[in-house]
Amino acid sequence: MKKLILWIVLSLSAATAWAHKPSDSYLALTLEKDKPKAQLEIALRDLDFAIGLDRNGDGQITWYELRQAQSLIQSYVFSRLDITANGQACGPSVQKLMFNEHVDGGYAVLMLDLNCGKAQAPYSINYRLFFDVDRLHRSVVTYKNIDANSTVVLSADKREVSFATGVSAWKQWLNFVHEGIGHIGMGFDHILFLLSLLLPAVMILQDRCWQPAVSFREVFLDTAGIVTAFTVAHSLTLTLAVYHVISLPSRWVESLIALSVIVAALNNLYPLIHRRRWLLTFAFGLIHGFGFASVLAELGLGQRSLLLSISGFNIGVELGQLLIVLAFLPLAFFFRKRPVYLYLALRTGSVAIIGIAGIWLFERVLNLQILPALGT
Amino acid sequence: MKHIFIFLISFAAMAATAMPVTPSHDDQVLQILPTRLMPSKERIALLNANAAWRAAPLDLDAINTLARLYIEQTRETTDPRYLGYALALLSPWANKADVPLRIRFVRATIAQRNHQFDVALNELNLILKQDPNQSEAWLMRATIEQVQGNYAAARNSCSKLYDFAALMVGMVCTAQVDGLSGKAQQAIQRLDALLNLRQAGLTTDIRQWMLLTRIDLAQRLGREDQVANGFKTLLAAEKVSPETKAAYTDWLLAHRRYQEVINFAAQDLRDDGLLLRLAIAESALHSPSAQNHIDLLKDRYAAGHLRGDRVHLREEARFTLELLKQAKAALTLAEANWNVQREPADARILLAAALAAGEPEKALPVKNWLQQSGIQETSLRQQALAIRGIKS
Repeated sequence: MKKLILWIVLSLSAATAWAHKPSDSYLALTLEKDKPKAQLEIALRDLDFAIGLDRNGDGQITWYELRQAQSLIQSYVFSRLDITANGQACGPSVQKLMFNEHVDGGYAVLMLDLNCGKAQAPYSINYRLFFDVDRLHRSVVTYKNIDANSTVVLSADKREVSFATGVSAWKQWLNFVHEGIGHIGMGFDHILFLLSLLLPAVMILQDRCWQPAVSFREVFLDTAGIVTAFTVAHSLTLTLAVYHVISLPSRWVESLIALSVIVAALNNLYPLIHRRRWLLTFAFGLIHGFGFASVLAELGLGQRSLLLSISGFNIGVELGQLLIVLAFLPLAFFFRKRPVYLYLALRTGSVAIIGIAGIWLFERVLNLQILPALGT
Repeated sequence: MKHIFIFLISFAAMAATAMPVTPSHDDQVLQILPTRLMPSKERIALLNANAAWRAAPLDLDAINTLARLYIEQTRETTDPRYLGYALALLSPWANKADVPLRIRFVRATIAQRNHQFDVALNELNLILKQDPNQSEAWLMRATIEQVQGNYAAARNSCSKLYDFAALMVGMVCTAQVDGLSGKAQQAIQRLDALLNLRQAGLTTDIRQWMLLTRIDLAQRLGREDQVANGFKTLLAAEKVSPETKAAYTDWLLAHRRYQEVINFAAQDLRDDGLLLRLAIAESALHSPSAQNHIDLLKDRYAAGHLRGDRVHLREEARFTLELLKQAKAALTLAEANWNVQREPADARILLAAALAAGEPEKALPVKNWLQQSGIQETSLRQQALAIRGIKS
């Protein structure tokens, strides 16, 4: 009784006593070009405990002993592991037996080829190794399918897992479109840049004075020019940046973006160029492209296709842009003849924009934060 | 979204650190089995118990014997795999409602060992409901309640032991609780009386338990020479428990006796608790092997996380604070730990992390605990003065 009591009490101080590691195996299911492969890492200790590996009984497992046990290991594993593709059983075969080390010792590594016939996703795993001899054994299962990455821990109480089909290319593309729209929607510096350029679109410069434009056609052409120039320019540099052809330090990029907003708004107050604004837009659009690239990088580009991500994101940005234009232009055209437009929107508005962008420039050059994070 | 990204990166980094290889020689030793490192007496005992169990897998005696041997292994070596082996023996009752008391008790022991205190208490309560005379269950309940900082309940559970023949055990149990609730003086006197009285009749294990408790009490009262003597006695024993080793190295660290920690702890790096203290000592002395040990510990905690275990939050919090110097992350761990257990060491790390992270108000629970328990911990109380809120 006393002994019984003792090991209870002394067990209690598990608070300070721990080490080694409970039993884990590591199962990685990867799909390369839709061909499934599995890699199963099993602790040699666990294998020995379950099926015996130590042929000469010297308390050590050598490479020789491991190799000799391959067929035994195979039959143990294959009788306790089911991998199915779309309900169809995949026949595993050991392509190679290797060795690896983890924090608690040596592991046998089984590289498995899976023959699932024509069946593909969704994949399921039913894992039953070791639970009958070690009920705290777990298997850390990772599933890698191009852009889908997930990790699941299987245990005696949870022996099965199904992996949903990877996100289709279409859905992924839509995600990026969504991000693109969102980014320009949230990117106040991009919005203000565009607005600064669009404000005078409904006006004509005559003798260095602003006059309301006459026809919608010329307004439309001017706007189209701006939008196209911005699109082409930022698409160009976005692509170059994402493919690492050109890399610019982000602090520079962000500062130049702020500067671009100032210049565009300043041009409204002291108009140097008007109908050739698209040139200005193009020039600064190049910088904005680098800004978009850093956002895209943060989203985590899919491995499958950078092109997918870029095209999706870019189209998202264009759509967002289009929404801004559609929201703004009709209103501007309607109000262009009113003096309130000239004084309030164009003049005062531009001054306000210069003010905000000025603070951004200050913040970004000096790496401070004054305004709440609105601009990117 | 960002968090998923970061997680994936770190997982990829972790997974990428070790790549499978093809060994070059047939003779290359890939793994040393634990049986090789086990004293032959224990190995034989395990073999026999295993054989007995295989012959009768549903025999409660056979299960109990083997389970106890497994759990004893975990206790001595800190190797948690044995707990899994023990739990596997109980598989026939895994999803049953009608479970024999002895099986429940083994379950409770395993759960308690894994810091699943609620699970353990549940099993214990079921046992005691059916048979209130199970003194071992009362004792385990007392110790869990103590770890959880529930001293009133612990004292009550200890007192149940007086009703049975386990009078002495009950007294040591009460002494422990007393030591944590401001009555360390009386507790030590009682323990001394017991030790003098029963010197000859004590088994090694019980004696070790009493001595370790006494060291704890002496520390609380600031009697350093008694602490030193206590450790000297314990360390001279044939088998030194991991708890003793951890307590000893902690004491050395508190006194900045870093080289002694290094000399002592370098013996067995499989014990993560000891490895942590070793790394702390090496780090303090700017020893070149510190980084290696820090990396080892990082890998071990990471492996635990991967698996979904949250067993050793206290140690991990201490590691994160003292070695990785990440106060905020340490605070999160320390808070999660405090939800599970509330021993002085848990209070210590929560307080230290909160102060280091510049969020002293997060350590308010420690202040409450100090007040409610009345525990004599001068250094903790001094530090706790930094926390606004309840006056100590």
